[in-house]
Amino acid sequence: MSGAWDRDEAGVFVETLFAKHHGEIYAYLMRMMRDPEVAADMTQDAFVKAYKNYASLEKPENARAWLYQIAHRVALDEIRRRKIIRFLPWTGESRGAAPSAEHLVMEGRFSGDMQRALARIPERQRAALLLAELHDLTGLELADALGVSHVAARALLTRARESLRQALAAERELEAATDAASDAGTTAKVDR
Amino acid sequence: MSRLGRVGRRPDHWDSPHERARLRVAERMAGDLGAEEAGWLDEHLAACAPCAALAAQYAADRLALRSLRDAAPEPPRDLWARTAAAIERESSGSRANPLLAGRRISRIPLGAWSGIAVVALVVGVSALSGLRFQSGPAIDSEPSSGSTTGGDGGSGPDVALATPFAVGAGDVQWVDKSANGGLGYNNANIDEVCPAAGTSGCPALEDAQRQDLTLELAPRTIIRSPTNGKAVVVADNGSGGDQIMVVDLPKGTPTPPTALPSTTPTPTASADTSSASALASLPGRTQSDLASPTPSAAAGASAPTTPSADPSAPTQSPAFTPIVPTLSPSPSIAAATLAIANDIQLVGESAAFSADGTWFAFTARPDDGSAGPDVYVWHVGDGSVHKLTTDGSTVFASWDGDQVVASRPDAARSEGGYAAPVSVRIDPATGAESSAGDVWRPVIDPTRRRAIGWSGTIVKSADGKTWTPDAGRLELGPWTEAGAQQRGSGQGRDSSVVTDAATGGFDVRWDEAGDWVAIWVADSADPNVGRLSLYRVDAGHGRLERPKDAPDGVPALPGFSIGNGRLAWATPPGQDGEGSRIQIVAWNDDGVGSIESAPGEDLVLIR
Repeated sequence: MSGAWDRDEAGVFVETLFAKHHGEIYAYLMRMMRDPEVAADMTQDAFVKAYKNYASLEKPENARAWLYQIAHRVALDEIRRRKIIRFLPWTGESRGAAPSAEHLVMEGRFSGDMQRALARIPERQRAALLLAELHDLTGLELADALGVSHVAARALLTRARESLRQALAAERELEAATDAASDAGTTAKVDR
Repeated sequence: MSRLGRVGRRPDHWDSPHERARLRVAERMAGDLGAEEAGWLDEHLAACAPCAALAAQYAADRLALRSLRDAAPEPPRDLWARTAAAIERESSGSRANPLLAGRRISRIPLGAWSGIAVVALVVGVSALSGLRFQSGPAIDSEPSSGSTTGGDGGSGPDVALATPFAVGAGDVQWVDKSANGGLGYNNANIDEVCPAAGTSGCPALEDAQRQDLTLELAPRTIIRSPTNGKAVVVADNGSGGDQIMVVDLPKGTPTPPTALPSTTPTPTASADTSSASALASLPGRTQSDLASPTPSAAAGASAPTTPSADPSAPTQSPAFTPIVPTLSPSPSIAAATLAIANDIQLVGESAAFSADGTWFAFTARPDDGSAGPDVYVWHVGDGSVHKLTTDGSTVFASWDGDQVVASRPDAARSEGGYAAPVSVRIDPATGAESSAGDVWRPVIDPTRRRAIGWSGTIVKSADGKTWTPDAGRLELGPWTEAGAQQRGSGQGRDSSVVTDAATGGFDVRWDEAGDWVAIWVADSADPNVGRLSLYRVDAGHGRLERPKDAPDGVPALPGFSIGNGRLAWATPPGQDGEGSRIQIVAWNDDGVGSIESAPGEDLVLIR
């Protein structure tokens, strides 16, 4: 696949890749970012990068993992930028503007304990868990996507499971405390 | 077999068997542990209730995580359309523009345009003269890269030419280098352009009036004062830096009347005009001579020009008959140069005079690369420039009335080579600053109600000194006394966003009324070339519109000009195997048309 960069060939390849994988790439980015518009922008960005870097794909059979690697980097770049700047677009209907109905639906769907716990853990661990458990990347694919060695990927995933367990426990404790407070308030009203 | 290689750690190195069990439980979820370690784990879990509970918790958490598959988010339906469009934009960034391909245009080459460097300057004037399309047989029918606005067919002597339409007259002026290496000053007037639709051929710019120039350094950029017939010239000083000079533009540039005799001899590079061509260094001149803000009656956008038609020649010139200007009488060019800065390196193409012509601002850095960019200003009449900022990371964005607008990274929101930008207004006389919003290089329109700038993050360049756009978008937004303001929801994003990829930099210029704006976005791999687009501004809705047939991502060198209903730029050299061209798009209420020059080498466009 390396060698001369054939734009037409790259275009056809990426179109095929999009047809097969855009749903899962979008889902991965949505789970990483929890913002449908951001996820859509990043999915678009990932496929454009795939087009631009088509020549770097050595084995077409690895295209899926390669695509995840691109998407993962796009996600980490965005997360890194967000640590620097609160993105305030000049124009509306985007980040910083009123949330869309789609956003609200997505937020409801992704606002459970698990999503909140995932949001608590470091992004690289979150990525490892999502890719391994929800997107079924094999060990080697996971290592490729994360851009680390096989052993490092496994270690990252192991740490991620423990982080998720602790984050879930924290979420459940918080929820229990909130419920207790709510119950106490209700009881106090009844007593009065 | 394990899906992942087991983390290597010798069993006897564990702090406790429980820690070992916890890790192995987690590892086993990714694949086999190996018989020995799996056997140990099973034995330990059977004997350790807390560890068994932990294992159960891991399993439950995994099931909960996997249940998210049932809530797979659906991508938006237009995602492919958006992605395909983005890929197409990416693709066109380094591919010959379809609009420029496949069209043959008959041209009458510029007689004196055989040289290397060509510098064009668009000046709006009301007089008609000088240069027209030609409807007669083509002198030069070589294949070309075609016009900016498209067209379908080859042309040549046997091909009917397009029917040009009239646009408001305006001069195009440039400096070129002739075959013998000498510089020349050219002036042409354009009052008709070829329509894009149905064009089967369109003549090119014909010869304009050309006068020899004498400049010690070949100009790279010329920026004309809006008021006094002078210009700031940027030239390579030969030692790695730039010299910035002020020059008198030629006065009394002869402009033939509307109807000129077609039999008038064509001026050539060899025309003896050097005696009158004195855009030369005149040591005896004083700076006040050079910097006088008094407008010249014979130069400038509104200056009337002197006809130079030969009265003995025929007085009628049918449409598109070659109209050849004469150089007789030779114009009286009184010019001089004044170096106002040296040992610096101009950064970017944002340098500009203030609207009243009293100040000139630009971005520069030391030519030895020892520091980053700062904003410099020159007060017309002074002998040298003044450094307005000193932090080594501020760039000039544009003028907001009499205030300089500059941008820099926000030190408080900077990390790892990335930063959020801030803009400030600076009084060029006092240096007093005030905040102007979180936007990078806003270019404010003449009404001072809108601006186009980079909304997002910036990243430090490889040189470690300059900053370029990173993630975000180049977009149109409101501009108020507080500077860049975030617009509320309800305003369409796509209608105000120019691009979300401008890592190589960008250049924005408005026309006089703020109704039209041209935007150049540098190529990410080679910022010395870029793509130029023309937009009409829907002031009521704050949107950018793409007029039919207007340039849309056409290849262009930096340094375009816009004004008086026309946009001019230079095409990159080597396109379709030929040299650069000056291309001009003009518009009126009826549409957009274009005209272009014959190719030249190493063409440089200035404004």
